[in-house]
Amino acid sequence: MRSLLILTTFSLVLALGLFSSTTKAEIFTSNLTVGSRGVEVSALQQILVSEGYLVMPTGVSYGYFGPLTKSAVAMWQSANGVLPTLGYFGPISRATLSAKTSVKNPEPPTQPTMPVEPPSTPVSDLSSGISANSDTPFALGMRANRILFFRASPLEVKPGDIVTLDGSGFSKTSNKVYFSGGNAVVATSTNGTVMNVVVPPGLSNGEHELTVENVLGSSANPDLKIIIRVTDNPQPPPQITSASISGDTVTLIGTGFTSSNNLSTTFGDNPSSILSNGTTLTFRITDLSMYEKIKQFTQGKYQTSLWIYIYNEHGASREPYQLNVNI
Amino acid sequence: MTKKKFLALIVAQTFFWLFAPLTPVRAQVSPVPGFGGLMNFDIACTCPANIGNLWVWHTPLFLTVSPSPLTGPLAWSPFYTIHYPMFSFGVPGAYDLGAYLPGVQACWMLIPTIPPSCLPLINAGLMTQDGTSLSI
Repeated sequence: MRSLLILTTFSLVLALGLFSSTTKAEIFTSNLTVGSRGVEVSALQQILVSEGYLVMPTGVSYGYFGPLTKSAVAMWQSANGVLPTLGYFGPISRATLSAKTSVKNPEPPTQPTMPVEPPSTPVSDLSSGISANSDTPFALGMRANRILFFRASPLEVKPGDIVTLDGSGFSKTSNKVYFSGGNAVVATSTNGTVMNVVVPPGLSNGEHELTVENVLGSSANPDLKIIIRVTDNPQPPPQITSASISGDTVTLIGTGFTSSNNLSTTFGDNPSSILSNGTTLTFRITDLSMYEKIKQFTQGKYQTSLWIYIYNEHGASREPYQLNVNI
Repeated sequence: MTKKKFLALIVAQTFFWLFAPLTPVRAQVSPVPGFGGLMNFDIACTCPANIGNLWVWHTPLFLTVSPSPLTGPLAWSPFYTIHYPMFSFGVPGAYDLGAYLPGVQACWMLIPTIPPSCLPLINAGLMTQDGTSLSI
């Protein structure tokens, strides 16, 4: 009977241990993204590791939400039907995890999971075990040990405004951002790919080329000059807040549309006519430059995402809008 | 095994399954999901110029994270993607098989804003490794 007692006790302990593992979703109350720290991050990482989405690099401790965790969250979101799959652990992700573990989450999903960082930002990921320990992390798929500078947004600013820079190889500790070769401002980046900088007071109105310098060198590129426009009355870039498709016609609702809008999409650009009345913009999906090229392969049998940017004289939308379409 | 021990084992098993929560059986999955598909065409990423990254449209596109075939692009980078034989990457009509990082954007395009700027050309993710079906 001693064996019976020992085995029964062992089984109960094991079963209760398994049951307790399902209560992890209860502890998530915060939005978690790159840069987050603490026990919630540790708990999330443990779940991701246990489910096979994350492999913690040797020597890296739990508790910091880095690019590797972001990628793992994106994979978890893909596998669990959470959209968008951007690696941002927000209310929808919490609710999904909660539902998955049959535990009631105290905070209902009241708004879409939106990333703090732009979804399009290239992030150091598997290489974060190497590059994240570096002072100048590089974006995955980009040349290492070189500073690259892709865009500054918004385009139109006034002194004191914050400009967000996207690139690769930004320093975690010290970058000098130059405005037209002068007015140097020191800035830092947490992940090497995104960095905020304040437009210096007293910067004159007009266009200014931005360059970034750090231990890797300078971002100066004769083929691409990254410009901001300083003005007393800066206008925000266009932004898409919703979109729909009916037949061939795509309708975008948003702000900042002008009479000279252009599109950049995953089906190409340059529709022959874009109609806009300021807050609504319409175009025909069949007019996009790669539509027919894609359609010849898909024959109308597939669903995919049409990602849409809009740009005009006030700059380009920072975030793409995702519209699911059949093609 | 004695009769007592056998009985103990049966009772223990019964207790275990009575108290253990029901969990779905899950297949072992790689930390990096896989993909496979037929390459249709590719576009050279232009920001920065001549970087060599490609944006490759696949139809059909099979992703291990998706239950049904899709159509869409993935990104390939000479600085990150491990390229195995066959080496005909980007050749239309070649099947492509590998693994990728969902959501990692590695294809930026120069767009004719005034002044010019770059925007990400969105894709399903960055290939970590790939090989194709053609040897040409």
